Amino acid sequence: MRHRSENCASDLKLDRWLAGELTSDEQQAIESHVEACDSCQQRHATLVESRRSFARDAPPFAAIGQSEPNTSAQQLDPRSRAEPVTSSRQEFARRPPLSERSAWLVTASALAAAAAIALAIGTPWTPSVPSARDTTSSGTRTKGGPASLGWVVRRGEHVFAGRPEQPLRAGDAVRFSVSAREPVYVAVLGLDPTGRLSVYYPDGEQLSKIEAGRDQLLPAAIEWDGATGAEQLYAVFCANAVALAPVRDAIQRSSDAPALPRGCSIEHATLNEAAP
Amino acid sequence: MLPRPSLEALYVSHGPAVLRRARQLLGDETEAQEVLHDVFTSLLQDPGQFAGMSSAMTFLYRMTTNAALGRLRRRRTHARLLAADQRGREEPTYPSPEVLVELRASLLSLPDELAQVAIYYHMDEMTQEELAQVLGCSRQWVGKLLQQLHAREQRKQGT
Repeated sequence: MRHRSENCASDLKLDRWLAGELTSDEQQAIESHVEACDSCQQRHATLVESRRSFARDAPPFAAIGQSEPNTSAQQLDPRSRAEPVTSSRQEFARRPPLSERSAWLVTASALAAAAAIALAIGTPWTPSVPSARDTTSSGTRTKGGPASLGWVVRRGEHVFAGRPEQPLRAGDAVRFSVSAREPVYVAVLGLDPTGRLSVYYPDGEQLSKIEAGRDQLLPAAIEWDGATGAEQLYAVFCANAVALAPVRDAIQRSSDAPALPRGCSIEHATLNEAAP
Repeated sequence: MLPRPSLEALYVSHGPAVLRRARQLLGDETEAQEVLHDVFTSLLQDPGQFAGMSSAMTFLYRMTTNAALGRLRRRRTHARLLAADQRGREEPTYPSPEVLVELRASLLSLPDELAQVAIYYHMDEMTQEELAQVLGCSRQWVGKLLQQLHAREQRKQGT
């Protein structure tokens, strides 16, 4: 009954690719194979089409849990461990799109089915600054804060966890996420090669509160416009609600060692651009 | 542990695979939608089920397979399997409807573990390594299970 050769990708591998679960090496390998294999191309196209029809026709997530399931958890996965749920459920925040800033085109509506952005499960964000610095009198730290920033990239039909070593391409949509051990106030800023600083999150005049949780997608999304040069990304995490202006000014004055308000920490990463 | 925002994103990113496989296994849109609902309702009610030991997709493949197998076994007649598959679909089916009907019929006579192997091997066309990951066992054991499956298939065909 099997149709595909041993070298071809199984449906599981193709599904994982489309859902953004593969590493960058795995993605490159499967992309290369699918480009050269008619059978896998056809199968890939079928799976892409089924994802489109799901996005169009499937019941909304809000309908889940409205009635009791017909199958028990034990029947669904006999190896599952029914552990008690301790974390609180959080509503998915919806905010208006950001206005255009610097060389970036900010289009939250382009990622509308914000829903269509898959959350990469379990991929931490590794700061590109490897060494920690001592806490200064202003309370600034460059590493070891209460939260970390990640991002998810949507490239055509594919969604995958962003990594600093994975260059972006023109047209990539990038959405930020935060993992926090405790509630924290967050801002995400970007410094382009010309030295212009943009605030990607939040929209208002104060840092925005994020509850404890893992890989929580922020409503902020940007589209990489293919400008040359790397973009420096800064995530600021504060214990209290602080105004955005002093945070922005501190990074603008000295991005290497910004004098942030007391109780704030900063993480830094670089978004690189793929060579043409 | 899967907080609700992550579960919603999981529904969008992984739900298509759950629904597609449920359709392939059951050949019935209504039941496939119920499996989709059941899988994610179960996760909503007990997020701790997914302990992160495998990829989310692998975990959902397993949940979907178990749910569909349970429904197949509860179906009363073989005739219903054939009738369900004769309804038209908009999406191209792959594997072909004939293969799926034959697979579904064979599943009813297989012990649970072999039925799962048959699904992952014939329908999802997984490698042995992937089979081992989904089943949570060694490749050697997967090899043994495939031998048992092939032996049964050959006996059924009279070869």
